[in-house]
Amino acid sequence: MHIILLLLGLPVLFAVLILFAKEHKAYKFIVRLAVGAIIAATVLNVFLHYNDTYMFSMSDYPIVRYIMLGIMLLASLYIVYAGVKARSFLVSMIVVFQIGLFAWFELFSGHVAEIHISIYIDKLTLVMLMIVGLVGGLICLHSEGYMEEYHRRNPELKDRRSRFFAVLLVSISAMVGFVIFNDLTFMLFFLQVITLCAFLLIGYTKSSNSVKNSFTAITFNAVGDLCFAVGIVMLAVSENVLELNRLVLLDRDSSFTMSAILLIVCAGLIKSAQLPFSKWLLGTMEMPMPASAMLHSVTMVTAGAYVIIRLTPMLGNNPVGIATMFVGGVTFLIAAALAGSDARKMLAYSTISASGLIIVGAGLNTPASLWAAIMLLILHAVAKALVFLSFAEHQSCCSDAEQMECLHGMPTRLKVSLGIGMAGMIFAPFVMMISKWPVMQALMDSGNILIIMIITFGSAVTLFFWTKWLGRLIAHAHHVVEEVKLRFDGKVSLFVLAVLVMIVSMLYPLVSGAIVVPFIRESMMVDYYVYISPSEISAIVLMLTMLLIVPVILIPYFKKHWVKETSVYLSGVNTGDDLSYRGAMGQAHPYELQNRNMVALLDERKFLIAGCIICAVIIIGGFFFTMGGAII
Amino acid sequence: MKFIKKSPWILHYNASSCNGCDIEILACLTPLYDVERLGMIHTGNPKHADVLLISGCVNTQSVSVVKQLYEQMSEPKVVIAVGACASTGGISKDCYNVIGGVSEAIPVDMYVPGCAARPEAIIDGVVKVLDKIK
Amino acid sequence: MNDFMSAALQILAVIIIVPIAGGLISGIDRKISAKMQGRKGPPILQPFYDVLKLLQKDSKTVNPTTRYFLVLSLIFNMFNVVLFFMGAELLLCIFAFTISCVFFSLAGYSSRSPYSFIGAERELVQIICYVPMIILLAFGYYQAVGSFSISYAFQLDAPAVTRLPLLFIGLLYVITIKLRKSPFDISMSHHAHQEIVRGVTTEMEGSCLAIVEVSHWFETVFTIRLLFLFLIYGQPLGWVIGIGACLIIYFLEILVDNATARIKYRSALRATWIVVLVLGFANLAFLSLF
Repeated sequence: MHIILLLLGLPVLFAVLILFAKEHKAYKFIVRLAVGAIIAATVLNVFLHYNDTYMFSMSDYPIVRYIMLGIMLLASLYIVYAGVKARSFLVSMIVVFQIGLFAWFELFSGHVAEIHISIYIDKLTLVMLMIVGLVGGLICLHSEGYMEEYHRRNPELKDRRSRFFAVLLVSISAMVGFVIFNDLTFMLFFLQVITLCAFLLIGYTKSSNSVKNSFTAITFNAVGDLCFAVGIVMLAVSENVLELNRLVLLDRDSSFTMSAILLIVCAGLIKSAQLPFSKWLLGTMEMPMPASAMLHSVTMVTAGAYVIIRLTPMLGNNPVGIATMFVGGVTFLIAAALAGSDARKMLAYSTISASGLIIVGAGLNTPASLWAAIMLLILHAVAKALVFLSFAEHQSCCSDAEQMECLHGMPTRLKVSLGIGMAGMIFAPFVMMISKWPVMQALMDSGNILIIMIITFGSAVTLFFWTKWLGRLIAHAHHVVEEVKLRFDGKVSLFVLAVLVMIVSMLYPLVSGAIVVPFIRESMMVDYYVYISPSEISAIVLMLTMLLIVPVILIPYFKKHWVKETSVYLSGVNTGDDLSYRGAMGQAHPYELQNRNMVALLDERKFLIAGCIICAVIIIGGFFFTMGGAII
Repeated sequence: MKFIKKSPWILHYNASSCNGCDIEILACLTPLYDVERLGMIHTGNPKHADVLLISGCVNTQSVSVVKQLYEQMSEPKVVIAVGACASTGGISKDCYNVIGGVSEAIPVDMYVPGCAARPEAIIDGVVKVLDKIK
Repeated sequence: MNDFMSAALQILAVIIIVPIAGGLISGIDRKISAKMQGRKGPPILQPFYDVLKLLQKDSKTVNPTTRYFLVLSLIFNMFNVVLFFMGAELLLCIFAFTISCVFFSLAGYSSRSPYSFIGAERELVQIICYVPMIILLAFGYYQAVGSFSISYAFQLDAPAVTRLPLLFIGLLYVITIKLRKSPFDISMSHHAHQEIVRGVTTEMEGSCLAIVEVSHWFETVFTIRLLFLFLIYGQPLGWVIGIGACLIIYFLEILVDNATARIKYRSALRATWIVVLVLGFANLAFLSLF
């Protein structure tokens, strides 16, 4: 039996079910059932496919391919229609061009390339399935209560919740399809479905701003899909290859092939919002929080990074690899510096920055760097989802979560979960990168001093902005506000995610040994093993001691009478509540704490533009040097 | 052994002084008197200080500040009233807004006389008041 | 079993001797500074008196979490120094060192007092000033020596500084920050008056402040040991050169401390990053070429 199809079909089934549910009360039931089914199916699949690589050919069922092409055409036509209706003709033109390209390809040369393996499940696929199934499922679970609260708070919005949940579920299914398929046409199809889902989610509120943002996003992503489409058509026409597993075995010296690869890499860069293309992700921050969480940690951004990780064997020390690496590196540094004092911007830029680092690891094409990239991908997906959902949970209590001061009224449990997510983002990459010094060693040996400098400074800036936020959180930890009762679903999803973050960051050797190292060994055909160096053991000891010390030192925290409390020093004019001081005329002045950010040193706009120009030049240079080989 | 005698850290507050005593207190830090040789450090923060030096009489504006600074210092702590005004209210005792000497606001352990108090007298006062700590 | 015992003894020795050495260095530092200013200065044991007094004081806190972060910071500092003296890998030491600095900054944040909040922010700015330099130094060390192992420095034919001259100058530049010396003492200073009261430590009193002091002793020793790493080599003469050079460098730091005024945090960031960029890049490029 093809258990994997269960994971592909179940979310769609529940999506259809929820569309037909008329009663609002039924939503909770269906969503819980769907999430339970998705998680169960994920676990089952991982369990079944763990020991061997699963391959499946669909050449006996050509009808499936036609159905897929039909749906793809319908989806494309819908986008064209939406573009024309909203007078955003650029999107329509791009999609029409893509339809034309694909029609020509399918009619005249599409059948030349023979597909041997349609579905291919190796260890990396399992990693992705776990991210999609577990994290995506938990986000769905969380979204149900959130949306109820959301509509209660914004009564002017039309309640289209059933469609919202349906789209979330379909995007999970599309992401599953994207990671399991080996057939590049199918990958393109699922990529387009993901784009369409994102479009629908961003435009959910139908406000003029959200519609505008949804069109920005779809314009960028349609270009990404087009890059992907052109890339695979080029490969199919010239090399007769339409499969991922054969794609990575192609000749790396052929400039035509490498141009096609660079196009696919560009698709990945656009999807993961790397620098010249970062604009679309910033616009998405206005949609409901769980949908953002889905986009950032499960579907779009992760899909982009996944594509580039899959193409790793073709990268490395060639123009394409170098361009990829530098775009990732520059994005990592500049996005980290741009993560300012506004909560939404911080969330968006931190995602962009983290994907940049993942892409550097993938572009370098050494076993150690690939290891680091995959570990970071896992960690980022889990930790970022936790951060997002904690914010979302808080936002359903207070309406304005944009300024940092909003953390003030946060319930303690949310502070703890947010703190775990942030701490995971600060400390764990450090531990992993440092115990994986071969990454840096490989960079040194290949003479990539520039990348080393970028990563060094980028890590410092990343440390700066995450610690600043964590500090901000802690600064308010003491002032207890009235506890808000959290919803059951929200609590469950936050708790499970927090546990996952702890496992991935603290016990990372387990995750790595179970699934990441075997993948690298199989895919790179090298006898790669993670040498457990003394430094690594010490790092683990370090973190476990930290874990043990935490409860011991926290004892006085629970026994309040052990600690004598005092008031904050405010030059002797504290009014007594630590939040205001007494002015010269005897009146109380409240004070507020504001943060500085890195960009206080520079003009944010100029900085962003400079980054975009640098990255654009790198990509164009990459094309130039790749194709230059053909001309010479 | 009480190490506070080896490192008395000082907080200085001007309750409403004419700056005469303040200048003399700061003079203690200069190379001529060098109080740091006795381990004294001039902190700007009640949370770090052991000795509170107050110059000037307490008036209606400064009384709450004096009280709060005293409260925020942690035990063991001592208070020294520096100069005539701080000790008794001095020349401005009968002024409409003046409450009186520092002892009107908080308990004082040592009075340093003078208008202005001499640096030697201030240092002497700090050294002597430390003997009062059990 | 014997190995285990000897390792345990070594760790214990490091944990006991390092703070004593750090305290003495701090005492001598204060004495020399006083002499430079034409004063007599406190006794050399003064830092110990201060810490013991702080321990005897009643400690109240604004927020109990402050103490928690301070203890974590101290533990990571100890861990870092122990690793360094046991000859572990350089990158791991730097990691533990960074974590301890981050915890210290978090301790500053935890009280939500305006003064300590600004101090904590500045402490973070300081961290990002020197962390890139130290990480680059580790890679330079790896490239020059062929290993990240600290104990490997004792087997070299020539001190690592001969291959890392520019990075070493950069290190000299940034340790001023870590030793909390002027002109880079922007988050908290040894001296009394500062525009933000006492920066990060404003709300810490009694035993909390004692922890900060002891932590700083560990940091001082770590900094000097880091300098020493680049000066030592496999000959007995290496020890003489190393110790002598460290003494001279520390004296120069005191001189700089007394001769300069504090600068603004933006200037501090710019001044260090430019130095780190230029020197780090030049030295690493040189190493990878030859």
